[in-house]
Amino acid sequence: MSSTNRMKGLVLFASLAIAVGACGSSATPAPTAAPTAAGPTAAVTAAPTPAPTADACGTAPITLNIWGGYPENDPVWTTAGANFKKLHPNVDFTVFSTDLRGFEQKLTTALPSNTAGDVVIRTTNFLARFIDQGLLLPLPDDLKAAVTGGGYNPAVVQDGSYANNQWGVPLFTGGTAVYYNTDMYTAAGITAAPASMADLIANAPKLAVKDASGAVTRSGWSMRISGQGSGVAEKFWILLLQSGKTLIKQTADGKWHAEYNGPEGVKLFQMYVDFLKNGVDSPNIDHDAKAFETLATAQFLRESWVIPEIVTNAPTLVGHYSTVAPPVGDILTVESAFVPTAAANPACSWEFVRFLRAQDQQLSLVKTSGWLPARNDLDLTSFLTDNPTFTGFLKRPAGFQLTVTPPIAEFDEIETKLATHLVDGYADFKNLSGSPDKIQTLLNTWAAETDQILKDAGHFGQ
Amino acid sequence: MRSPLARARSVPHRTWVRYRFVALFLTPIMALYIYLRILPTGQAFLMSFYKWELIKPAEKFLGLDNYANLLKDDNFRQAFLNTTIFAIVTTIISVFLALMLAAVLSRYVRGRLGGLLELLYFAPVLVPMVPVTLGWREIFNYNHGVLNAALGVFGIAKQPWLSDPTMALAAVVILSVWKQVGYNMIILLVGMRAIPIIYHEAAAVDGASAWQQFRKITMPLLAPVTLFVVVITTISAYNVFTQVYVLASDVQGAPGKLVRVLVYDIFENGFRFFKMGYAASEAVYLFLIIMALTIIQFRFLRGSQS
Amino acid sequence: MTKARRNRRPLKDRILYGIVVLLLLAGGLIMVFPIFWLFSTSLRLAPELNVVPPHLLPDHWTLANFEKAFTKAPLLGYMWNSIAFATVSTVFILLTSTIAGYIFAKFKFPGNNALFMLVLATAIVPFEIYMVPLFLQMKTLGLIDKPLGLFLPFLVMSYGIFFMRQNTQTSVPDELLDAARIDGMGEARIMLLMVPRLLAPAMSALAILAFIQAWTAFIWPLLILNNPKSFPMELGLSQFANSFSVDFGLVSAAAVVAMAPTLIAFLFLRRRIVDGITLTGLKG
Repeated sequence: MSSTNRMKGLVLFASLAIAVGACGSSATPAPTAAPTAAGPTAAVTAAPTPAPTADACGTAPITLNIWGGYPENDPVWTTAGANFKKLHPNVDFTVFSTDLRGFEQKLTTALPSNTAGDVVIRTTNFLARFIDQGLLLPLPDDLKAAVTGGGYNPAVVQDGSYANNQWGVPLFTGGTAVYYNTDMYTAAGITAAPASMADLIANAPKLAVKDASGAVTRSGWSMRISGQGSGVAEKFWILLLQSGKTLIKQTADGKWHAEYNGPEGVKLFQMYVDFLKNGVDSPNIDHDAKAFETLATAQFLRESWVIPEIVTNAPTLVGHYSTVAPPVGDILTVESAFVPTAAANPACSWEFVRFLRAQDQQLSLVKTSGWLPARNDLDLTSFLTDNPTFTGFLKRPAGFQLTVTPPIAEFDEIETKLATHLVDGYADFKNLSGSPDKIQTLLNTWAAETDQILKDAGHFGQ
Repeated sequence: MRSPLARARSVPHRTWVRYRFVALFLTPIMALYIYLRILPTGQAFLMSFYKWELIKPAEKFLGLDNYANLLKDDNFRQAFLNTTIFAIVTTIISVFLALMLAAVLSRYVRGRLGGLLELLYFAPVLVPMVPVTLGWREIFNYNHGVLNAALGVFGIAKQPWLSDPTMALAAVVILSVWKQVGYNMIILLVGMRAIPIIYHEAAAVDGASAWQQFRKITMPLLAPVTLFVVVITTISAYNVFTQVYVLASDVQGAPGKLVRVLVYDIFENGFRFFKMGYAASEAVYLFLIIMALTIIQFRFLRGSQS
Repeated sequence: MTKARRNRRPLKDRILYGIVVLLLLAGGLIMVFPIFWLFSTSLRLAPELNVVPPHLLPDHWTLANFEKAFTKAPLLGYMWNSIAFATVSTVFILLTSTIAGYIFAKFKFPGNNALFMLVLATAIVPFEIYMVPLFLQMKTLGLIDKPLGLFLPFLVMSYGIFFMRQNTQTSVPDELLDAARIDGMGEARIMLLMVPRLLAPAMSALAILAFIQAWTAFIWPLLILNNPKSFPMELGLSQFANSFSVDFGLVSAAAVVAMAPTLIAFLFLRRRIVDGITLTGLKG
């Protein structure tokens, strides 16, 4: 019985994919009609990788130090380095990575002191302040042409532009999708993949499981309700996008103000605390990828790196879950390759970045670590056929909105502080559930802090 | 005994030899010391009066603004409160337990058995913090954690050790007491063993019970050592960081409720929000707290010795 | 003798003694339980990790986690780096602390007190406070990602100087020094050959403290080192734990490897370590 339902799900996906396949995705605030990854690609597949400039790395021994914030990508860079060495035998590689927080801390000390790696992989937004100080090189002309020449989703290009220039070569993006356990869906009598927020909200209570004492043992939807850093606010943001609102909104004159304290924000916050109060989710159980892998939740939202992780950590789950795109839109974070001004051999660094940009390297990325290639002129059809669980990431619905991180340096502080407040607010769910007035007051207090941070930076405007 | 005249004649030469010796050996060490400790510390204090980013050093002189703004900063206030509660509770529990253990192990249970017990209680002191915190995180797990399973045996309901704000603080306290108690015990044990046995024997002859002996003899004589242990524990508790960082950092699974403590907040301001000057002034507050504790210790010690 | 006396005790006292010992033993087992638990989880595979209630020992014993841990990360390399780092740091701290402590304790010269107060005052400044300026100085010297850059801040120890000064005052009698001088020994020979013999217990205590300090250093290596090949254990382990946080069996295998040297050292040098720690503690 469960397998026939799974078949139905697959058929549904296939039809969805066909319907969506050629549709455009659009980016806010600059709407476009760029083809999605699964769109027509024939013209580009034939395009040759740029021929390596023979003398970019010279013949003297060089060691390139590649820095990134995601240890799961280390094998990708290491393998790429080994292949690059075949073309440039004088070049050796070291790869440095640590968790994102340690990495940012390290960049913050290393870039200003000219001690960072030869290629640094991080978001343009994070690196903006270092660009301000002239610590990172702008793209060479050929790479700039390659980045802006249509091979990338315009939202990716927009995310990477800063101070009227392009600085990094987009390598991978962190799209979000809903992971849902198809067995649990079937058992709960739900046959269709969640296609709207209403679906997700309606499904969640049916999927939660409680023990005899009424304690939640499996959540119907694993919400992000704790943790350090900005992750909690980021998940709130993604869900807020589904009702067409965002965390901070840009005004016509380029200034910003908090938007999450509007009615949509209140409603969303209410959903969180109601879930916690009604036992759809619980602070007492595992969350996120770990919960999904240990069958402690039926669904949750996360980036695509979870897919290869499931293969490693929970192989029995493979084939029993699917992914589907969030109904309306997603945030877009782009990790790009930058070359610091202080790099010893900038020409060779850029040469390696050119190499990383090549199609086979981009494919090796998604195959190894599951992060999504930043280029959208790749032919991922056969990859998707082999790896149908990537559907939610590679097949986005028509009119899908991608929202980029506001290009202001203080956004991380805003997001991190909001995350701290949200964690405290969720913990107070017993008191807040069913009291929209209290929630509104709370959100207004936080929004006032957000606006104050913007004011301090000179970026506030109603 | 030499005549005053002879002494006056010989002193300059000897002094000169000694000065040369001191200069030869102490100068390189002090140079290293000044370069590696004093210079950067002075620099950090300087930063606290500025709007200072690593990439924009000394952007703007702010005077005491950073210090004033911190007092209004919710995160700082919460961090200060959490750290203080943590320090007080951890110190009280770990010193109390250590006193009990040391009292029993110094007089009552001795020999091989005593040695074995000493070993068991001391073991956590030496294991590095990161691996054991990883282990504790599993023990605290709500569903499959050993702690909740053990509580279940006694009919106590499962506790959300890592997710509830109060319980998360309790979890950090438990872990830290576990790590600290052996150290305190060993120090107190040495202090107790140094108390001449004759005092106890005399008291026993007078018919004093074990408890009376402990209160009237051990405690007063042990006061300086106890105070030392209290201060050392409080200071290290104010610097708590690794435990909270590791307990709340689980990207893929069950991130715990972050117990915001001072050093964490310093890190966040300095390295995440790039406010180096602001973070430096926060660090100076931490320094002042620790200095106050040290002065208290010195005062009390001097008082108790005179 | 104790045995004879104990047997003469009334039954009530013996029962009480038994209860106390049992309670202490139970407490002691709780103390080592977290360490035992890491060992136990490192020997089981993923499905067994989430069993409710947890089983004390693995149902199926396996070394697979260890095999995997050693292939996923250069754990032995980390360990070697830690040993090298901690050894160099310990040797230098012993040298600098003993010399400076001895001189501060036994020589009168202009500025003695002022200099020593300076050392004392900086002894309580937490490392986090001055690490950024220190990092910039290392950068000026061109020592980023160099072993020397890692080692340098760990060559002196404020507390070590303070500790050796205290110990020199109590364990090195002036009479002995004067006698040696009268015998014609030079100051340098006295300090380098004679004094260390008198200070041996204090020095071995300080050595343990210095070794532990370097062994558990985390933030400084993270800032100064770029090449994972030169990471010490603690840093390597936290990176490892972050990459595989879901597979706790694997993480505990790595944690066990990280703990092993300290546990082994403790088993063999127990008395010395305990004595050392009490000595450094009490003289503070």
